[in-house]
Amino acid sequence: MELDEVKLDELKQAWAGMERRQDGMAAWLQADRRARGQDKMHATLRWSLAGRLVELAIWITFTVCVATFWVDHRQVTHWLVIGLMLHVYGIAGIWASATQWLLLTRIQLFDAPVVVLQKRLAQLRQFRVWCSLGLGLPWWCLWLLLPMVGAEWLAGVDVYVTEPLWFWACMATGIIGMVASVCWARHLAGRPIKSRWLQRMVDDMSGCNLRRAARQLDELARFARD
Amino acid sequence: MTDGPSQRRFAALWQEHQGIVSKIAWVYARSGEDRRELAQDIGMQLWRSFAGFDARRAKFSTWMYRVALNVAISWQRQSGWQGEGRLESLDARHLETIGGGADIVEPDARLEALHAFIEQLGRLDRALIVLYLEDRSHADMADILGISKTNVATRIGRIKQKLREQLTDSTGACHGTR
Repeated sequence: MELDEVKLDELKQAWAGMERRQDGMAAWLQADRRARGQDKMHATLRWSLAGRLVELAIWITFTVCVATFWVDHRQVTHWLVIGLMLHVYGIAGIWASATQWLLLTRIQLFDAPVVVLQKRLAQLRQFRVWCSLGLGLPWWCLWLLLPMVGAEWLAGVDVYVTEPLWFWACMATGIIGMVASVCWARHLAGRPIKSRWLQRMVDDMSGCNLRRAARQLDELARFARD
Repeated sequence: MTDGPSQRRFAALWQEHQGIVSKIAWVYARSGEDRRELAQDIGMQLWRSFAGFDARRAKFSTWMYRVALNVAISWQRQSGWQGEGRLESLDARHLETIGGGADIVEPDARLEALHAFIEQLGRLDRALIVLYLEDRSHADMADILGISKTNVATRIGRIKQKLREQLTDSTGACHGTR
């Protein structure tokens, strides 16, 4: 056992001596920090949070417009139903943006204890996936509903009355599209995809990212409990 | 806090503690290029977070470990290399990159052994071994990681046991080959 302790001490000495080996890295970091400009770093963070607030403002504007629309058209059943659906979608968008903004403000400094911060990050990741699924998939139908509302509101053209078959065909295609895109993502999951954006979308829709976040939360819970 | 004094204060503290950053980068990143990228990310996050640092609530080193380890763990998760491949061996080429291009220092067998051991640990256990090697107290480790002191003691005990076994195995293997 004593020999083991000596070896552990030797490792600690080697570790302590590593700083001497890393003088070059330290000088490089120092130069890099100067070159980047510290004000710019602060500005990046401010813009990131400001971006979320802009997103929130857009959702609020959307919800207010939709509410005005369905209140004005409440006597027509299909406009009331479509308006209410869009209203719910807008409220979901507000809730998602506000929650993400709050979660971001809790982690932005990265100075919470490691287990706490990593847990918050995993929760944020999980929440983002649910948001992208909940707010992204409905676009298979929204692409039709939004222009319809716009046409009625701005030009008084009611596509639902003039082309009901076309409307229902598009809605059915949208629902099939939602299911198909989830199946397609599951099919592609695990395969290498060049585009990072597409990779993220596939991982979100196939549930890969949700499973990853859940595994991470389990790992953190085990680490904190053992 | 205005930017001028804040920058000077940060620069002074950074000068004193920046060794931590390169060591953590060594533990979490795979190649020399990755280490530089990670060290750069940690440096940037430290400066961003510095406005929120309160010396009455935590020592600078404790605060710095928290930020640096959080960035490193998140960086490693995003880069997604863990489990997909092994850490490259710690040869002279890597020692050169650790030194940021400075003079090549002769390889240290103890560091190679340590590197091989760290490679087998999970992200959170790597944080623990960094703190153990830095001789931080169990109370400090608990504070930095956000777990109980008992948990720290248990986990450190397990890691040390694993490390001892590995050191014994490698010694046995060396003797066996002679």
